[in-house]
Amino acid sequence: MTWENSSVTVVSLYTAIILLGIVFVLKFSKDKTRKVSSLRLFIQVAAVFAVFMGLIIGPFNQPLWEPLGPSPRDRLIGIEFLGNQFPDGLSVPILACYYPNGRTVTCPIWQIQAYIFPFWNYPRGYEVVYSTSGLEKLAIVFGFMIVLSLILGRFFCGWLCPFGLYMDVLTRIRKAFRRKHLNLSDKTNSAVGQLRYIFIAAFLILSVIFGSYAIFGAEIIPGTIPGGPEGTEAGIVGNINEPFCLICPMKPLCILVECAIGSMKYSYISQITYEPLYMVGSYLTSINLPIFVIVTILSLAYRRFWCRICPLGALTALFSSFTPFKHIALTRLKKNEQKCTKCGVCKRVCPTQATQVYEKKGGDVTESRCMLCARCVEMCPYEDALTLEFAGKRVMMSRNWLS
Amino acid sequence: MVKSQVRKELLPYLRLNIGNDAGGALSEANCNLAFKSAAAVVVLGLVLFQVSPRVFAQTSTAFTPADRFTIPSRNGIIGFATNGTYANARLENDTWYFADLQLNSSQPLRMFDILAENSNVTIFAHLSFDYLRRLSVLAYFVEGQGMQTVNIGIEPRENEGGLNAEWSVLFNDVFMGEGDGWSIARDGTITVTGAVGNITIIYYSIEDGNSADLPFFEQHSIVFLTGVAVAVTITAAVLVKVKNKRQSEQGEG
Repeated sequence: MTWENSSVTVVSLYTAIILLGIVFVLKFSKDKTRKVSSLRLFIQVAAVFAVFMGLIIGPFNQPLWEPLGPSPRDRLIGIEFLGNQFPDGLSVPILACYYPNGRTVTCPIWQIQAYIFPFWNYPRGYEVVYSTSGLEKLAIVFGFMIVLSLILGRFFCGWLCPFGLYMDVLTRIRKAFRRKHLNLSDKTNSAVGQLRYIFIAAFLILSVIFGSYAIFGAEIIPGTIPGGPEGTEAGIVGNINEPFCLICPMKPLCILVECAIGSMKYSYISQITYEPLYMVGSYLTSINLPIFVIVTILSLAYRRFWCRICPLGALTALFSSFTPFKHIALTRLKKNEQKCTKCGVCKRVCPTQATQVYEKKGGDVTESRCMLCARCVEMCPYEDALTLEFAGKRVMMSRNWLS
Repeated sequence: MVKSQVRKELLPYLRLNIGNDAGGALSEANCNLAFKSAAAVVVLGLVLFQVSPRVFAQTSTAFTPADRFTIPSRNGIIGFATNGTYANARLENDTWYFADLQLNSSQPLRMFDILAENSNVTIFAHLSFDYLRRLSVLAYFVEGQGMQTVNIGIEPRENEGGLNAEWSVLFNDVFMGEGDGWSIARDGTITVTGAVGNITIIYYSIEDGNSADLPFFEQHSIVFLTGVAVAVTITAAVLVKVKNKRQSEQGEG
C-alpha cells in the first residue's frame, strides 16, 4: 500500500498542514484588518482540497490517481462510509456537485431532488442498489442539514463553500484592478433575499411534478415515466428531474476543477456515457454555462452576488436563522449595544449587504443573509462591539485596530 | 456629540484602510495583498493542474483502422475498427500493451494488453459501466483459427471476496462455458483458442446491496443514527441555550 492510499497518513498530513497554516496566518498577518480574511481564504482553499480531493472520507484504497473510467461519480466512494443505505456521500451545505471525488460530499439540493424523484429504482435508471426507501434518504439529508446548520449555520457559506471562494477570488481580482463594487439598494437586496425561498420551493415543486408518475402514478409532464424510452435517462429528457442542477452555476466550475486536478477527463464532458450527448448535454452545453458567466459578471460587480440568491444558503438559513432553530443555533453573531457607535463600517463591509448587524440595537444580530464570514467583526474598530460566538463562547471579537 | 466626533475622526482613516469595502480607493497595502492573493490562487491552480498525472497522460497518439500492430514471431496482427488514441503502446514478450486506449464511441481502457497468434484481430469496442456494479465488455473480430490472450485491466482484487463477479465469453453471440474454447488466469487474462468470428468478453460484478437478511436496525442504521444525531444536537443546543441564559441572568443579578 502506498502512502496516498493510507487514510491515517493522508488525514494526519492534511490536518497537520492545515493547523500549521492557521498558526502561520494568525501569527504572521500583521494587518489586523486582513487577518480574519486571510485566515478565511486559507480555510476556504483547504476546504476545496478536502471536498474535491475526497479528503473527508476517501478516496483511500481507491485508484483515484489512476484514470477513473467513465466518470468519478461512478466510483461512489461514499458507499464505503455509509454503505448501500446512503452511498451518495455526506450532505454538506456547500455547492459541490455529486461529480467530484466519488461523492464524499454531495450538494443536499441535488440529493433532495434526486430522492424526491425515485427514478433510481427503475430498470433504465442507474439501477443503484439502495437498501433504503426514498423517504428514508430524504430524512437522512434533512437530518444532516439540521445538525450541520444548527452547529455552524451559514458558516458553511462564508468559510467552506467552493463557490464562495470563487466569488471571493473575483472580488480580489476586481480590487486588484482598483474597481469599486456596486451595491444593491437595501430594498432590492431584501427582495432578492426573499427570492431564494421562492427558488428553492419552485425547484422542489418542479422535482415533484417531474416525478409525479413515480410518486403518484400520474404523469403530469409527458416523457417523465421512469423506465421510459431507450436513449433517455430513466425516461427523463435532459435531467429535468434535477431542475436546480440545470441552472446551478457551480456545475461547470466543478467539472473544470475536477478536470484540472485530474479526477475527471475532459473527454467525459463530451463522450457518450449512458446516452447520446444531447441527453447528458446538461453537463456543460445546457444553461449552466451561460448562468455561470452571468453570475461571474454580476459577482465582479456585486460582492458575493450568488450567495444572496443561493437556494442552498436559504435552506441552511431555514435551519439556523428562523424559529424555532434560531433560538438554539450554536454559532451566532452578537452586538454590544453599549460599545457600538453606529459608525456603519459593519454594514459597508458586509459582502451580502446584511443590515441587521447595523440596524439592530444589540444582542443576536445573525440574520438569514449573514454568512458568518466575520468580515464585520474583523473591521469593527471598537473593542468587543461585535463578537462571533459558538455555544455561548467567544470565538472572535472586534478589536480596536485604530490604535 | 461623541459619536459624531468619533465618526468624523474615524471615517477618513477607514476610507484609507478599508479601501473598496468602504467605498473608497484601495490602499497600497491592500492592493498588494489583493495582487498577492490573486497570484497565489493562480499559482495554486497551475500547480494543481501540473501535478495532475492525467495532464501528462493527455499526450496521446492517434490511430486509424488502417494501422496494424503486428506480432511477427506469433504471426498475429492487431487492428481497430474505428479511429482512436492511446497514451502508450509497446510490444513486449509478444504482447501489445496499451495504456489509456480510447476507441471513438467507446469508453477508455486504462490498461489493455493483447496477444494474437496465427490470427488477425480487429477490436470493435469497449463498453464500461462502473457504478455499484461494474460491467466491462470488449468486442472483437477474429480471422484465422489461432489463439488470443486478452487482459482488459480488471484488477485481480475485484475477482475476490465482497463482490459477485463473473466472466462470460461469447463466440458469435453464443455463451461458451469456461474451458470450452476459453480460459481465465488469476490475473484476469482471458485466453481464447480456436474461435473465429465475433468474440465478446464480458466482466460483470455487483456489490451485494441486499440487506433483507439483516436485522431491522442494521437495515436502517443510517436513518436511525441520523435521528439520534439530530436529537443529540438539538438537546445539546437547548442545554447550551438554557445554561447561557442562566449565566447572563446571574450576571445581571
